Amino acid sequence: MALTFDGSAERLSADVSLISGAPVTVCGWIRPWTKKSNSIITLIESGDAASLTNTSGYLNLGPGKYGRLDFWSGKRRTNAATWPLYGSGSPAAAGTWFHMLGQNLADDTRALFVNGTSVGTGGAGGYAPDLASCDKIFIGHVGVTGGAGSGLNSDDYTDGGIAEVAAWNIQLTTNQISALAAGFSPLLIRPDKLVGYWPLGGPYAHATAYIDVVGGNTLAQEGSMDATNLEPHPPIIYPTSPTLITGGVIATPIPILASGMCT
Amino acid sequence: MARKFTLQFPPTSFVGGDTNIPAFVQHASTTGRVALAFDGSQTEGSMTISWVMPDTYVSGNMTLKLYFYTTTGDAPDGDGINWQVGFEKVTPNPDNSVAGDPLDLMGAQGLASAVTHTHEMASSGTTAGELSVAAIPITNANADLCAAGDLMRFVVQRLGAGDDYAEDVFLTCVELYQE
Repeated sequence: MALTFDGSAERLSADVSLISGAPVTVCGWIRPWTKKSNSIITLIESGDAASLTNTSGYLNLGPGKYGRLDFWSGKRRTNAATWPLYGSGSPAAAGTWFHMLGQNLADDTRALFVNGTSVGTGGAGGYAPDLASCDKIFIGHVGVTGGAGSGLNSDDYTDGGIAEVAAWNIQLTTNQISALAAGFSPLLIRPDKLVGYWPLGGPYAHATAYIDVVGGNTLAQEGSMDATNLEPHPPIIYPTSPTLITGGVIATPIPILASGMCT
Repeated sequence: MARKFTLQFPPTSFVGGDTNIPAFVQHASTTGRVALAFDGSQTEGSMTISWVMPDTYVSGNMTLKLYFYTTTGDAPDGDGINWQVGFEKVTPNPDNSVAGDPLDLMGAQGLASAVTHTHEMASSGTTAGELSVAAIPITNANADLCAAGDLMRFVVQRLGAGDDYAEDVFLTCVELYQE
């Protein structure tokens, strides 16, 4: 099961400096229900977190409040040309799982991928990101309020499901990004450079354990997170151990991680 | 001949490396066929997770079978597909109280000399997308002079730049056994 965020005050957080700067890749699955700041993951400089005008220590991935699909690093935004959650009431794409992936490769080099396809690069304005100063993680909250048109509103919280959130300290290839969007676990994609992985469900831990499988940065719930708010996980293919057969008997698989597909 | 053991490795038991890693792909998504896509223009390879050589292993020859298929639309008639595998063994100390083989598992690897194998596709009648099986003999020396109880890994590479088939080859299962 994946974790559902109620859109009012629920979020997950941890005080941790996850990355030292570019390159960084973040990704996750999100199933937004309404048009608002539906953030997947935010890395933020907590001391200056009241407003985006105060900090360049900021990185965020998720559908913004105007129905765009946004990726922020520092004060610069890359977004998809189409706005699948745009519109009043219940957008047509509401309730759809999206795989989003953002890469900050240098000051002016960013890329956003949705469902494995590149949908935006670059983006002018603002200042160079200072990602090394990010010392806090949010899942389910943008964390800051930006200027008009930014789509960042710290009063907004994610309304929908989030799963399989991960961060790497390298640039992934397009083939690797396609594999993630096809449902392969982050544990199968450059695990040597994976610095954070919060499955929020699946075989490793219950969704409400909020654990980081690779980095140990377990998240804390805020906003009286309702642990009963769960929904089906997107289909994910996890690492598998080899199977040993001796004398016609299938032995217990070598216990390394979890096996097979999980929905 | 009866087998002493069989180990089956699905694609998801391969965890890559740091360069030129074959991509994970899922074909016929409604049925969920998973494979590693080895490029036709360069050498790509991926390493298994660690596993332990079964107690039923007896020093001697084994067979490694690679179950793969080719790209739809490009029949591999008469093409040779070049595979290469390399084994690593690490022997623990018998009483487990001190380190075994002097190999820094965090920072080094100790692969034995690689075994290359060209799988010759039939000269006619091959169909793109259909299953082929390459059977590669593995001697004890090829397997890094391993013994039962050793910690093992192996890497599977396709030497795509040097073989006859220009398209991707999809590895969907690997089997290692001893008769």
